[in-house]
Amino acid sequence: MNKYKEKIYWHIRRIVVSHQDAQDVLQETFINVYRHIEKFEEKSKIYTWLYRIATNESIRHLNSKKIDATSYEEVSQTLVNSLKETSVEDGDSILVKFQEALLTLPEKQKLVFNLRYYDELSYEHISKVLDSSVNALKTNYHLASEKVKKYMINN
Amino acid sequence: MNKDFDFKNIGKETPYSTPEGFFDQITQQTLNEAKRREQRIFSIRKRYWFAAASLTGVAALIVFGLFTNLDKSLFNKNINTDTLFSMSVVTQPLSAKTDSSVSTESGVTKDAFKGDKNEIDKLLSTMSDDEIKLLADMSSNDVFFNQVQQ
Repeated sequence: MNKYKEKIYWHIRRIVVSHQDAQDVLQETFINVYRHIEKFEEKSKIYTWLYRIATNESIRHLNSKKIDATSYEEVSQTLVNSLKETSVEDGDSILVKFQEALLTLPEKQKLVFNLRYYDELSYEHISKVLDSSVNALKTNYHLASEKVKKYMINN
Repeated sequence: MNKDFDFKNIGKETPYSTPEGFFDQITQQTLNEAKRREQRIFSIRKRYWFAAASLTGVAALIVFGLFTNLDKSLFNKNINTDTLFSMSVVTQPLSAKTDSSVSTESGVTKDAFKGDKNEIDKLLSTMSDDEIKLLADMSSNDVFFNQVQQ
């Protein structure tokens, strides 16, 4: 856990935004890992497996919040508001704007962008985390980059 | 407005931060949480097994009680049926007991004919010779009657 906790925490944090939520999801992730460690197959790397569990837990967490919201846009707006609240002290507006741009992306594009841009995972590893083909991931990453650029220029 | 946005200007930084010492404590907190859940699961399982054992005990008692009473009632019932059977043997007519002695394919017993012999004799005595001859002819041509006789 010590080896991966920071990377996994930041991955979760970029998805769920709030620190408290990220802490809960991180705990849930590692508890799940302890509980199902015997199911871990050596053919995939441990950190790929960790990312997969963390991503699924984060999505599950967001979906539980989606019950109160009517649409994905509403969830994104809630995350953006949460981002503004939590990062108001830091005051680096360009970083906040960049995160805003990421939070407005569709879920799949956001996940691919985060895993590729921040965590620098290869497309092969991302395909194992997200259960998606490499070509589809490349397309999603390209689309996400274009949207983020556009957002950063226009806002 | 920056028309040529470059990701390098942003880098890997994010506007997020964590409380001080968060990463030092999270491992222990997670282990404590895991232990707490394990204990909770153990306690739930313990309660479940206790409830299951209690229910099994109660069910076993009920079954035992049922069988004990059932045996008693069956015993009483046996006495009654035996008594009734012996009474029925005494009161049953002799002809009824012979019903099961021999049976043919058609379900008609040969003994039944013997039982009715007197009545047939009475009937024949009231008939003329021609009528008896006619009846004898009819009976020799009657497939069903011949089959029974065989």
